[in-house]
Amino acid sequence: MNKKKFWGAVGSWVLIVMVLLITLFPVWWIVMISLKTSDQALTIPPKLIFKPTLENYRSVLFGAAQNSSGRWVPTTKGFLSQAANSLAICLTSTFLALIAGVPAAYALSKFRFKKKQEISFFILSTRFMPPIVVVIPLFLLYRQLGLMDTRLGLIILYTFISLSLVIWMMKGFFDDMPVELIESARVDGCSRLGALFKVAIPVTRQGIVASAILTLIGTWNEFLFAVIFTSKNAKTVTLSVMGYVTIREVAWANMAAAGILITIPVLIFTIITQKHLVQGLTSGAVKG
Amino acid sequence: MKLWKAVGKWAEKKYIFCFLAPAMIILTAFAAYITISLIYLSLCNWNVTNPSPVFTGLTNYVNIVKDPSFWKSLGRTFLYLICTVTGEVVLGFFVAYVFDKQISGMRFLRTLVLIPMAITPVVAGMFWKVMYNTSYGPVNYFLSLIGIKGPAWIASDKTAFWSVLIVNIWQWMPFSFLTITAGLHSISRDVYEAAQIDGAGKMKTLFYVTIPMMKQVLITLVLLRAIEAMKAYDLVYVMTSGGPGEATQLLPFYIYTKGFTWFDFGYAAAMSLILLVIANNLFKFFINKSGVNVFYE
Repeated sequence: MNKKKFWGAVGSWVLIVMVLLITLFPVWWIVMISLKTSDQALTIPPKLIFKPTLENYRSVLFGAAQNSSGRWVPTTKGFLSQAANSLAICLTSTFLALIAGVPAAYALSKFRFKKKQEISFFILSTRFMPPIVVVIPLFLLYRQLGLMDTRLGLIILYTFISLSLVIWMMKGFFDDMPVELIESARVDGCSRLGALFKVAIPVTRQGIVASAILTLIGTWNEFLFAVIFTSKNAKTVTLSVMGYVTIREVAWANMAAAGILITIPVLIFTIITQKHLVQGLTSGAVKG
Repeated sequence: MKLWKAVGKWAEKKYIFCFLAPAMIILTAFAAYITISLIYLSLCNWNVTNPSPVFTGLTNYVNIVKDPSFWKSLGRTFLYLICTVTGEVVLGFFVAYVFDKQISGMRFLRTLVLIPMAITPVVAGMFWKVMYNTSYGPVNYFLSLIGIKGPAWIASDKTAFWSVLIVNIWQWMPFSFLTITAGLHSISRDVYEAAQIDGAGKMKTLFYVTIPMMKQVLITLVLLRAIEAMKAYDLVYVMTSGGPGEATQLLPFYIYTKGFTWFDFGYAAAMSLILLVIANNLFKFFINKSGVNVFYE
């Protein structure tokens, strides 16, 4: 029996190590490339021992440079301005989605009214909508309204795609809040709106933070709309990665550095919110 | 001042309307505009040769029905949906089960598993493309070390689809893992003890206790991931552009190609509408049949 237990433990640790190797190797590999010079980046067998350099990060952040062998490395100038675009677009659309979404989620969670089931389902169904479906009608509309390649254009789109996520998540969090809290506030003379702002929102603030973070991540990583609706001025940071692909060559080392820079904020936020992430996304089917 | 008070009073009375209105106005306006213009455009011929839309009735739909690329892309989309969801959920369950140990340090290891999920999909796609490269990619290099001659991955039309699928599963298995881990933790230890007392073995406990108790979690997870699979676009765009040939052309990417490479907006709009109707009905059907409490009362 003991022997069996021992081998069972060994087996499960072997599995754990294997899972970690497979999930983490590509990530580790991208990090390594970002620390190599472009000549070393893709050698086979992979160079395991090398002198790490932050040169790629420097040239991504502060502009093009010549690499060690004197060749000009293609860089997208303006990683920082694209990051600024992304930040402005994502923060604004997340803020708008929260303003419109939180009260709606609150109403769906705490009140009874006619057609509630239908309204809930309609909101959810906007989430089924594959983004490509939105693209053609909006492409034509945006061209006429002059919204192509503007921050505003993307903000409108991102608010729309984030709204159902915010409502879905926040409804789950409001469901967990005891209704007595609101009732006692009402008895104390609080208005309906006051009860939302003074009681419900403070109580569910962790949920609101989690929804905001998830919306930020989703819009930060968004690719399809960014590719189609921006070309120069409003380009987002995700697109900067594609900028290292030129006809002549692909600057893998720089691309890796840019990729890592884009990923770091997402990674930090994912780790911070992992608990609420599950609870929110499964709408309370799982308590984190 | 008086006006404000009146507005306040009205809002207090119509509070549900006021809470719902902003979100509903945005969503309804959007959905209505998109649906109506898709219907209109899909009935028009509007492409490079016709600079403004010309009404042509159902021509686009007739052409779509006769278009083998459309049917193949649609089939591929379904295959992709089934395989990614199955792969993610089954592997996620497996990994969650393996990592479900109460040892100090396990929390840290679990967090490590989540990392692929945080990588921007486009970045992941670009670098997996290199990893798959047959001459300088590490995947085939490592396979050669253990004496396996690796396939051509995304360079061959036989393996490209599965190669993209692997990347998707690699990136999103962690989400299933996270959700299922949380689900496992929500089952009380007493339940397992009771099962043990009743003489249930490990496998029996898994299939008769753990999985049934996680039904709600698993169904929600499947729904969430299926919705995402139906949208799949980024990976195909950066890794294969639908190729080689049409091997990885999923329906969203085919629509994109028709619209933005061939500028055949009418045709693309018609396919968009079909995809929209399919997605809507599929998920409606799934929600009704599975009894998942997506908006539970």
